[in-house]
Amino acid sequence: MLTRLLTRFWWSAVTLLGTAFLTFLLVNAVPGDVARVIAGSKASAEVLQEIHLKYHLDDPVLQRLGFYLIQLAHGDLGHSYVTDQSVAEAILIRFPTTAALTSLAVVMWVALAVPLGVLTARFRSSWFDRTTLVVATVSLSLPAFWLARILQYCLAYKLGWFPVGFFRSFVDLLLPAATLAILMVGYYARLVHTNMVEVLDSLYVRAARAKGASETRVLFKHALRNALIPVVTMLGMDVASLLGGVLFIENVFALPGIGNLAVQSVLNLDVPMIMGTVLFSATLVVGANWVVDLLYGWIDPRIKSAS
Amino acid sequence: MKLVPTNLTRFLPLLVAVASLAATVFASAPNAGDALHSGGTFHVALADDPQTLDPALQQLANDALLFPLLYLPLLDNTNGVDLVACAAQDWQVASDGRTFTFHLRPGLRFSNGRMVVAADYAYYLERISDPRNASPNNAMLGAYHIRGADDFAAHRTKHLAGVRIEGTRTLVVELDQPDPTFLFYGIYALPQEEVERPGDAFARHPTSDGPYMVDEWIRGVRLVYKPNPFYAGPEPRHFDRIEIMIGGDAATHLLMFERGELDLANFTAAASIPAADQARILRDPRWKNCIDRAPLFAARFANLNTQMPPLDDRRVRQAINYAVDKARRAASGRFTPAKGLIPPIMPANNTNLVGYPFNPPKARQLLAETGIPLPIHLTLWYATDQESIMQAQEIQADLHEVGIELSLRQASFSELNDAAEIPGKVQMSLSGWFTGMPDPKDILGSQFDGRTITNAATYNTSFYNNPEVNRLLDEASPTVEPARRVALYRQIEEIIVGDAPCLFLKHPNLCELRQPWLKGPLLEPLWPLRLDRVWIER
Repeated sequence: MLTRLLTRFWWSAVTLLGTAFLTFLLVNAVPGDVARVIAGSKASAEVLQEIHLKYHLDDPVLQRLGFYLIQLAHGDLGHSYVTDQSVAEAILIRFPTTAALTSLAVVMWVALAVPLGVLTARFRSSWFDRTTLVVATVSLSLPAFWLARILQYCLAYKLGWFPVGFFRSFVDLLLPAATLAILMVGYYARLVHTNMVEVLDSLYVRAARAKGASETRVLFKHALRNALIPVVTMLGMDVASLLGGVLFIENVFALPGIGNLAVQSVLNLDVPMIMGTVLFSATLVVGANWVVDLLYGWIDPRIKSAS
Repeated sequence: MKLVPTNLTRFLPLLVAVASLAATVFASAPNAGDALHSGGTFHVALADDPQTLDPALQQLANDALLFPLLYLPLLDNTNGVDLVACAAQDWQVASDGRTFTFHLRPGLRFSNGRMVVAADYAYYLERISDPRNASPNNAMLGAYHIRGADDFAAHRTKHLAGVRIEGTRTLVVELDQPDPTFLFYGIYALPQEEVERPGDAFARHPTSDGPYMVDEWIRGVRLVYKPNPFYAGPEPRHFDRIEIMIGGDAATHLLMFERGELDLANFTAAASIPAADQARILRDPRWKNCIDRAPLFAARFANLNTQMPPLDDRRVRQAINYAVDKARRAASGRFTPAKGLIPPIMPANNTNLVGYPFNPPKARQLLAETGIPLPIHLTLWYATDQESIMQAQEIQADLHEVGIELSLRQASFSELNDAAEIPGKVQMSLSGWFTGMPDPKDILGSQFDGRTITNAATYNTSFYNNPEVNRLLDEASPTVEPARRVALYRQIEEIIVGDAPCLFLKHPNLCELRQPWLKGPLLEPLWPLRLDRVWIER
């Protein structure tokens, strides 16, 4: 057990290190002078030189990467080139918004997708199943930015049912979360549907029915639990990815989340902030993998027994 | 037991009356901060956090919009060209045109209660001049050549020799050569002891002398100003609170504005209605009387690299100018087509300048005279903003009609600037200039002085070098007599326009949409949005 944990930890560290390495090299390969972004178009050559010295911008890339990794090993994500704000502070300030948005959206789409998936599997090939398939396909195809703008315009601006933007209270998250949920529900409904169809045809489900178990018990106690395993995997990865920033939603609804922070840092060539947001997102994904593995054991006792 | 001695009781009503009168007098003591106070909370939105609230280190035009709320410059301006006293109650310019004396208004205090003194303004100038502070304004201040600036920058002296303090309320600045535009350079008071505290506290919560001070700043969320209790400036303060929400884009801000959640639709230095919404807004009866327009001291143009063939041939450059229709989209009111470089609002603007009217046949004729086989292939670099994208496509379409095939190369702001400075790399690049003074010195001098081509960070990305223009720039800059100065700069502009080192495109206008309850002179050509001059009347 310990060996497995250590191995797991080792490969997680390798993953994050590799992410840091690649991201740093890619960011530094982007043409453009960071000093010019910081100081503006009217800065003198002397000022640009001072900035180069201050941030060691003329040092070899690998040397700068080394300094960064040493700094990272001490838990220091550095300071923004543009605002001089601590990267860790910037991320921590914005993370709760992204987390709240993602959590609310997850609740919405799971609450909708699971019953839809179960029912369409139970009543497969019915009009209900086919209609849900069409709607799910449409929701999968919708561009996030477009959907967010349309819902904002119709439901917030025209009808006044929701705030147009900014985050002042929980209510401000309802429409953005619903937007995100619409984008995700189609895929998850189909995922649950596909897995349920497979599980419903299995022998133990037939045995349960033969034993006289109610249809509800068969669907939700026997079949769904097995059908959820791949869903949990996808959910874990999607949630981790979303926690790293829901860019288009945050931008349209003016939410101070990590997505906006990441985009601004890219536009500003703010290397420490780019590294910070990318590593944060990567850490979430790695962490999500751990959580998903733990959840497997709870969902499927066979996995726990085997391990 | 009597609580009040009998011998005083009969005077009690009189004492009460006197006390009441005294309370009334002191409560309503004259205070510029209270006059015309309309109260209320002013709501506005910014797409992104300001980089800093330290005026010495500010580089973004949008950040500068916040400074009139926090700081008092020595001199302010109205109508773009008129100077008015602000932190300085009066000023003198010596007959040599090089020495400027400012006498501070008495009673000015920072938001921590400390008196503002002349040394605070000297510190501001030195903070910018010291290269170790990496101030983005270093070059702009350096262009005025304060006496001793080079020695100070090289750390051979501890202070700027040309900046003197006489007592606590007199500041004297001496330049190496006369320059009447120096009065338009914003000089602010910075408390050195607060600025130099460890950390970045001053950049986030500055101690300032303006009508407001920072109450709260949560990056990425909101920036809130509250009244400065020690404010003693000449202009009245109008709001109880200013809430600047941070995030979202122009479209979201406009929707919020239309729902009454914001008092201004677009809080940027280039205030304008989003292009996609312009027609709708202009037709909407709710807003047609709520649009403020003003010209800007700005110009947009495309640099033509005069050292790269075929653009080294003046006829090709002139043909490009004739081929492009600068008046396209002018009906929107967002800009004025350009004939040259000096904006229409500037006193030196030459209304007799002909420029290059749209004339494709003339363009084809000029190209034919060159003998260069068609089509001519050129590449235009441009930035990622919406206006640049539209402009680039329009230029491409127009040049196609005269036999010039234009490839478009989009680049980030920093990449574009870096590339354009490399000789022989960029043929054409969309550019522009926004100046903080009603004088052509900034626009013409920084962009078209041929001697700056060899600088590491040159603005002359047309690589244009005309000795006559260089000579005239040297003559015009120290010229104090207004008529002579105007004549010289018009002459310079005529030569430059004749040589066509750039494609002269347009002069942007401000176009701000405000709520009907927001009153006062909002737009100011030199400092686009003056939130310190407006108030709410509901």
